Order: sequence, then C-alpha cells, then structure tokens
Amino acid sequence: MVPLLRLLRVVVLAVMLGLPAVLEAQSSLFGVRGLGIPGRPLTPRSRATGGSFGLFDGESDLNPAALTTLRGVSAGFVLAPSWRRWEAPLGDATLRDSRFPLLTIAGPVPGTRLALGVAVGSYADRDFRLATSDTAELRGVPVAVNDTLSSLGGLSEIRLAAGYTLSARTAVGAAVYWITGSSRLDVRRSFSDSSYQSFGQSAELSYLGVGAALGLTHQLSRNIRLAALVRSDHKAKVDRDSTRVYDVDLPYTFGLGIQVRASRRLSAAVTGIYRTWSGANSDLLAQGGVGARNTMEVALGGEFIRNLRRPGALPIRLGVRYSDLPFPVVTGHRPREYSVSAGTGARFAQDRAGIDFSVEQAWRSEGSPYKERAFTVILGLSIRPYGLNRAEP
Amino acid sequence: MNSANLKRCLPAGRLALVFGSVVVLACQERLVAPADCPNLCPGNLTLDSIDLAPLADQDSSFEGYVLPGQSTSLRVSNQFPLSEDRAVYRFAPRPDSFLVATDSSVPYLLDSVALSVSVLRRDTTVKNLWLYLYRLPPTIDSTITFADVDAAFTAVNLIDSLKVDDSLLSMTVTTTLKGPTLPRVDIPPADSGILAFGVGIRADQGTGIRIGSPGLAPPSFRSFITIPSGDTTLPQQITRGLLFGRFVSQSAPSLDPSLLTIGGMPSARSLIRFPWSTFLRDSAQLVRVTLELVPAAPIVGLRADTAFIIARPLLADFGSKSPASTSSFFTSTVALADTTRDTVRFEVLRAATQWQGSNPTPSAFMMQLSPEGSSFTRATFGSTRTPGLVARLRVTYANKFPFEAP
Repeated sequence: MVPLLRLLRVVVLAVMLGLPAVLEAQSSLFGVRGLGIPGRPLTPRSRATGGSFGLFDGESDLNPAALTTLRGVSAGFVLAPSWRRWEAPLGDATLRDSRFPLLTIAGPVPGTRLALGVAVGSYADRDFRLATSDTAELRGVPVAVNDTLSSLGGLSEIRLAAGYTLSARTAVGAAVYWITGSSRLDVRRSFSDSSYQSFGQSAELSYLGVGAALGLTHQLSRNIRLAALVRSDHKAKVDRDSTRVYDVDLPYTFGLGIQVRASRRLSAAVTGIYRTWSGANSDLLAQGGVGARNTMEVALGGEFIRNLRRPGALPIRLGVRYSDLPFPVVTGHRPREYSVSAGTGARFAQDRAGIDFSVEQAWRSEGSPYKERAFTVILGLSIRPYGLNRAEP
Repeated sequence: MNSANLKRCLPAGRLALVFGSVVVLACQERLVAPADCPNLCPGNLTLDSIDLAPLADQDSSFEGYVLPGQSTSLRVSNQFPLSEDRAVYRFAPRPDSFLVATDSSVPYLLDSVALSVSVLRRDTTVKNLWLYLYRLPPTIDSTITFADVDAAFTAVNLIDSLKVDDSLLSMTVTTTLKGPTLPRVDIPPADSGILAFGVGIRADQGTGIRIGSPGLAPPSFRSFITIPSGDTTLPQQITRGLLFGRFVSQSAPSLDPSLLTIGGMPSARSLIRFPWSTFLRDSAQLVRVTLELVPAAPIVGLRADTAFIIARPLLADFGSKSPASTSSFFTSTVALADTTRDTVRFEVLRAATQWQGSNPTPSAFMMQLSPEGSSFTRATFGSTRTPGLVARLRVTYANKFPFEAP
C-alpha cells in the first residue's frame, strides 16, 4: 500500500506543478483555424520513431493498455522547442516557439496486475500571432491600417488511465479524459491617420469536454506485438468569456499498430491512427469557420539498441510519418504533414533518471499557397524514483 | 572517478548539456507572422460610422459669460468692420505726500509722469498705427458707455499719441510727460489722486488691436518725484496699480436664436446636446468621434490674431450654467484661420468616452471662444433650426471581434 500512496503523492504533486505549463502546446500555420493543430502527447522516444511506438509506449499519452509495460513508477516531462518557416501569399516568416506537450506519471500497482497513470497532454494548440496591413475605407476615405491578431493557448487533456494485464500476452486498458483549456485572443489595430485611435479587444475562449478510451496490447508471437486503440471524445463546450457560444464535436479515434522485434537489437513498428474530425465540420462551419476533415496518420519507425547490456545508452531511433491535418487554412483544401525524425537517449543514476532527445523535420501544406516547414527538438526528462525498471515495449 | 565511470557518464553529460541549452533557447519565442486576412484570419475586424445630429432645439447660445475687462486683454479699434471699441483705465489714487518712514511722510514735487500701455496683438499689415491717450473723469466705472468715452476723446483731453512700430506684433509703448506736458496729467485735489484715461487708435486703415487688461500686462502709471532731504532733495518714484479697466463697444451684435454663436462681446457660448444611444454608451468601442460645425457666415477676426474655439464636454447639464470640463485632456480646440468658411471639425473622442460606462456624463458640449471676451472673432454656426447647416457628430466605432469564429 505504501508504494501506491507514494505513487499518488508523486502524481498529485506533478500534476499541480506541470498543469500550467502543459496548457501550451506546439503551434503551426495550420493551427490558426478550427480548434488548432492537434497535439502529439508522445515521449521523445515515440516521436523519434515518427510516433510509430506511441501505441506501445506506456509513458506516452495514447494507449492505456501500454501502461502495463511499465515495470515501476515513472514520471516524465517533455519540452518541444520549434523553429518554423511560414510561407504565405503576403510573405514568409521565421518563427520560433516552445511547448510542453506532455507530462506523465504512471506505474504498476505493486502486487497486482494493474497499472495506473495520469497524464497531461496537448490536445490541440492554437498559438499564433498574425500581422496584417491593409487599407480600410473610413468615412469614405481610405486609411492604412495595421492589425495584429494573436492567440495563446489551446486545448489540453488530462488523462486518468488504468492498464490491466490479462495474461502474459494480453493487456487491456481504459482511460477517461478531461479535455479543457483556453485561448487568450487579442486583436489590435493601429491607423496611419492619427485622428483614429488605436485600439485592442481581447477575449478568452475556454473549452470543456470529456472523452474515454479503450486500449489493447497483444503479444502475437515472440517477436510480434499488436496494439489497438478506440477512443471517443464527446462534444467540447466553447465559452467566450464565460458565455456559451457553441458546442463542437470532438472525434472518435481508431488506432492500430504492429511492432516487430527483428533482432535483439532492432525493433520496428508501424502505426495507423484515424480520427473522425469531420464530426466537427458542421459545428465549425456554423460559426463561420472553414470546417474540418477526417484525418489519417501513418507512422513507421524503429529503434536500434547499440548496447544490449545497457539498452538505454544512446540507442538509435528513426521514423517517418504522414498525417492529414484536420483544419484547412482555405476551405476545400486538404492539409497534410510529412515528417522525418531521429533521436536517442541515455539513462543514468542507476537508471533512475533519463534524458531522451529527438529531432523532427516536418513539411506541412494543403495545396494552397500556405506552406510550412518546422524543425522541432523534443526533449524528455524522465525519473523513476524507485529505480530498477524501464519502459519496455 | 575512474576512467570507466567517466566514460559512462560522458554521454549523459553531453545530453544534459544539450537539454539545458535547448531549454534556454526554448524560452525565446517569435510568433508574429505576416498574414492575409480575412483569408487566413478567423474572424474579421470591422468598423462602422454613424452621424448624429444634435437633439432638435436642444442646441442654443447664451451670452454674458465674460464681461469686457474680465479677460486677458482689451479691444481697441477704429473704423474696423468687426467692431468699434475704446479702452478705459483707472488707477489707484496717488497720495499727495511721500511716505519716508512707517509713521511719517513728506510733501513731494512732481517732476514727470510715465504712462505705458502694452499692445498684445495687432494686424502688422496695417501701418502707421498710433495710440491716443485721453484723460477721462476719475469717476469712470462699469456704467460708462461708448458714447461717454467717445465724447471725452477730444483734443482738450489728449494726453499723448504714441507710435507703434510697424514691424512689431506686440510691444509696450510709453510716454513721459514733464515740463509743459506735465499738466496734461495733473490731478486736481478734487480727483483724490485718481488718474483715468482712455485709449483710442488711428492707422492708415481701419483696424483693431488688443491691449493689456487688469488681468494681463496692465498699463503702468509712474510718477517721478523729488522729496526734501536736509539741504537737498532726493528723487523717488510712485507707482500706482490699475484698479479698473475695460473696453466699450459702439454697438453689440444681437444674438440670433436660430444660430449657434460663439465669441464676440457680449461673449457668447453655445450648448449642443446629442443623442447617445445605449449601444454607444455600453457596447461601442469608439475609434474616432468628430464634431462638425458649419459656419453660417465666414468667420472673420483680426488678422494675425488667431482665435480658438474650444469644445468642452459637459460635466452636468444645467442649461446655460452647465459646468464643463476644463481639462485639456478632454477638451478639443480648433484654431480659426483669418477667414474660416469651411466646416470646423473637432476631434472629441476623449470627451465622448466620458459618455460611456455606468456613470456617463451628459452627451453635450459647451462651445466657447478663446480668448473669450477680448477677441474680435465672433463665429456663428448653423443649428437644428437652420436646415443644411446642422452640426453633426461623426462617430466611428469598432464592432466586437468574433473571437469565437474558429
């Protein structure tokens, strides 16, 4: 019972410390419309494999059944600074931002087949600051105006999950999600004619929704493992300054992955995840948005262990990924993202602490003049206060 | 630490270094990007404008706020189309003995008298400007009329004529009376030491000037005397302050109730009330508010003597006696050109913001001239009773941005 209390204590403390930071996630040109760009609450290890290890990773906020892969309590924190090149009809820009896409604490309940975990992750991010210059006709006279529209924030998810080992081969998991967050939006206008007073307006959009997920991992053979995920997110209530403005449907998620252990050193995985974002289409169009599309995400990646005695010592991880993005910039287009990634990591202090590191280069476009390239560094710090164990897909 | 341990720790150390470096870099953000809105932007920022006419028959003019002499200068003019004015001054009594100690005084001998008058504004295009100083009875007061003064402006009463330098916009002219001219300012005992004089002008053409008043740059009256001191005499000076000063006009223009009149003498102000909807009070984000007044006739003043019209938002509406803001932050001032024919515009955004919120002030302006009570300028504007010349308030405001638009 004492380890369980310790686990709960660590969980509560970490959630309290980490929540404000995690409310911000990655940003993108393709996160300006809709609810933003979907978050990727994965560990650097999973991100390095393109996300293909995500369904098998107990430290990622994806498949609750994967919690059973943890051999001890683990707490992780992920930081993701990003450098982006934005290409739009009116000009290009080089942007820089940093996000904290994941905080997770999980571990097995000693003496049982149960594993519990809590995670705070990015659900959708809507960070941007747009600057425009235009001419407005005021009182019949054209006046040059400069506008700035900015948004900080987005949606985050808080996951309470449990995994249960049914047998030596099979584990199941369930999770409930509390989807919440807010965007602080601000618009400012200045005029070339000083007779007009520069002004600004601001508002806060807050979101609230719930979701639930069921997961499965199954060791099909000695070297092949399967993972599956079904998740349903209910409507999110959207309030503007505490006044309800609309509800928006959140998607169902279906995920399937297969992981192959080609040798003692090499393992690879391929994962596909489908999300029914089009359920939000009518809600967003009704609010004057550009709608939403279903998304398909496919990731392929692998990990090469350089030192079998110390598998956590600088393994080599590589991955590629394709993903649709749900919210187009221009109505009717289909935004998508390609990315390649690589990473490694190291554990030290008798495996009680570890650092994982990955880099990801992504290309986003939708067939319109809007394009984006993003280089993201994903850094993860994980602590296993009671030692002895490691996550092991 | 042995070499094996060191070798084992190096990768972790390097990663920690990378981690720390990226954390530091990650603290820097640059998010501003060029965009073509409304294509990319969720929502669109829109502005609207509305024109408000004053409330019908709730705009009117009132007179008598500043009396002649209460302002910063006095008007003097001759054959000036705008007005015909004379100025009068009365000084404090000059004693008939000189105080040499706190309790003793001695008789004195008057040597000379110096009188100075400050010219504050004049039309420099008018040449050969002369000031004429005339003795006036010591009993002059606020009941004196133009006819009284004009009747006293005779050669018998002339003290002196003073040339004003053609090149100067403002200056002080002084005359010193002594010897044969000293009797011109002799003060008989019956006058109790009081000197009073009036000021008129002549020039190559009809014109006007503004001269010092009791409030600003008053004229001076200095008597140079000698007093006995043992076997010899000592020079001394007696200076008397101005007790009374004003100007009188040949005729006062009548107030046209169909127009809005600002300035002139009697000094007029105009009160203009505007409708102010609950939307403008509670919801509109004001971006520009302009008050426009349409002259009923060209506004003419003394050349090179700029007059200003001040739009003062009311603090409370008590009609003609309404208190209005004096803060330059909330008032709006417009300079009038020598001849103003076009619409006069006041930017009154700050005043209009006082009409918003839970405790708004009355949506009205008190319009007044500056300098009030001494300028030759008298402006008349159209009112709600003069179709085609009605004032208006142009309000430009921002609509609420649809932040909720996804």
